[in-house]
Amino acid sequence: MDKNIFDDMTVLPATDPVIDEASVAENTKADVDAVLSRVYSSIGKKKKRRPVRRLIAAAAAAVILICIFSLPVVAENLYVLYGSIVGGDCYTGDFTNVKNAEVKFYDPDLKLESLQVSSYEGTSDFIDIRLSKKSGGAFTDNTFNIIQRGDFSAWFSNESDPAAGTKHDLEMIVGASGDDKLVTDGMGYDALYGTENEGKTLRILIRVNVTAHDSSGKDVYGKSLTGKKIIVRSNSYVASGIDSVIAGYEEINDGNISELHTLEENNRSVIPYDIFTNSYYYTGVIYNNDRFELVKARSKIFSLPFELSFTMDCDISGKAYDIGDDTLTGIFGQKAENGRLYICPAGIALYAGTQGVSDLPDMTNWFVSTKDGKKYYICADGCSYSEDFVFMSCNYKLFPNKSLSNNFDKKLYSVDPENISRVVINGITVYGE
Amino acid sequence: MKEYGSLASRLRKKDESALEEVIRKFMPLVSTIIYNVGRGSLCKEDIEEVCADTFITLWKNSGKVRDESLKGYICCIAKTKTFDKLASAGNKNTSDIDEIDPADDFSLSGFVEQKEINRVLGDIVDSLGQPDSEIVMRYYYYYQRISEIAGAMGMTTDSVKVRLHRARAKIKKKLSERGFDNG
Repeated sequence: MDKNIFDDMTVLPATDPVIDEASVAENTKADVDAVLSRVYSSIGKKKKRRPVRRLIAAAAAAVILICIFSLPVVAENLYVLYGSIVGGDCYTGDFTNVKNAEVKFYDPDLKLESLQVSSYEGTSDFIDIRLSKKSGGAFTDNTFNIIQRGDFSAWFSNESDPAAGTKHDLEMIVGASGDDKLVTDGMGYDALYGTENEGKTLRILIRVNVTAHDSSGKDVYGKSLTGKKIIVRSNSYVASGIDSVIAGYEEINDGNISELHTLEENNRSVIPYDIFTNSYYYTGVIYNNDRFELVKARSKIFSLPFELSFTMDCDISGKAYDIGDDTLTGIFGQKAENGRLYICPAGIALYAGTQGVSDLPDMTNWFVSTKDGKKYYICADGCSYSEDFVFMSCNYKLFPNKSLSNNFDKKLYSVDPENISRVVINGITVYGE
Repeated sequence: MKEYGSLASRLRKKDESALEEVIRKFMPLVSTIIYNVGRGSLCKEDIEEVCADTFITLWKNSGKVRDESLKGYICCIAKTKTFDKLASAGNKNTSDIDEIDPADDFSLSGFVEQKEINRVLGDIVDSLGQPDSEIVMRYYYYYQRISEIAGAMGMTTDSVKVRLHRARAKIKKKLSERGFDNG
């Protein structure tokens, strides 16, 4: 078997799939202790002695007991969260001072087993909830609309990203009832559902990122969420049959066919071709009666059996700068508008709405110089850069109303917004003092 | 991939606890890659041996590990070690005819500028969009079988093949646009 061009790729794309314990075939499973022994033997160290399983079980039982008896305290006064939060838009904020947690149940048969907020390797923050029924019964897919069971180890053991297909979009609402404001740009969140204890415990993990910004002003606001109640609701999108066939799509041409395809698919299967996450529909293309049809598939919305609310502070600071449409067009080579450059501690990002484009040309040569004239900062993951962090290339797909994302470690690559003197993209100065 | 930044940092500092953490965290991935690249020709003991070689190599080269590429670096080592193992064993592996994609011609030999390709390949794969990008990664990077990919992604094998075929054409086009050519 020859090596292929992908074999030596070390910086993996954002769409890198999760290959975790759950997806490992039985015949590929190697004994980790055997491997550890070989490794330690080779590097001249003795393998660490590990506690016997019985001790682990006893320790786990003790932890569980402590958790159970401390529940009322945990539920009403959550821990201060720590660690940087990655993902989402240009900048991230640290959760601090989380308090006033409250769980409101819609089903009187429910009771809270545990509610914890934790950080995983300082990179993601989780709300980990376990519910059970007072009646002692099991949760079923039917009663709680557990439409996809996730593998928690995907988050806690092997990857910090849940496997594709186990994500659910959640709405997070800021503000009290009647004053709700959906934070569309401000938060990233995934949720994972599953049952434990033979179905008697419903476990829900919610991963939260905060990436707030204020699009109305020049400054990216800090502590924007202070004192606001945040309510977690669920909102899941699942195709459940064809809802409508959009007329006129038979005008599809050969060029589009190669993109949309489905020629080899079964005639009536709906393939989610494009997902408009802000709508309640999947849009798919089917091949039916010798022609293509664009269809909408109904999504399924389900509600969590509770509302979780809490207040917290979120420390964010940075600057936003409006960019002229002409400048943006020069960068994107397409009509772009409402451009804005964000310079924040966690990174630098360009934001724009574009018309008629979903795939933007390469935006190479992001040069960001500081006032001392020496340093260059990079923007985001997925980009190539030299050892001294000079941008080499950046090939983002920038969809309308989305900004460049980044994932880099704030501690290592933190940007001082006050120290940025110039940002040049494709030779065009989008910001300069 | 910066979520492994702290692990990479500890590895660079020769923190042995980080090595064990890495081994436990990446064992499923590494053993899967080894199995996939070996096309099932390696027994459990062979897989464990290559796993160990992978992590030993990682440890010896931990000073080179960068925050954003820990996972990719481990994958590359695992594949290289597996190729070495297969070569030493005479590469007796066989493949199910249904799992062979006849147009699979991304072999390295045609591309001479591998380092340059590395720089852009991830971006190009991302630009394919889902599910094609994931299919490409699973097939070419993780060496998953078409039937496995179909099962994991809820698609038919024919659909995976078709998407793979089209994704390959797009990748070649984009590589060509960037001046890469496999002759």
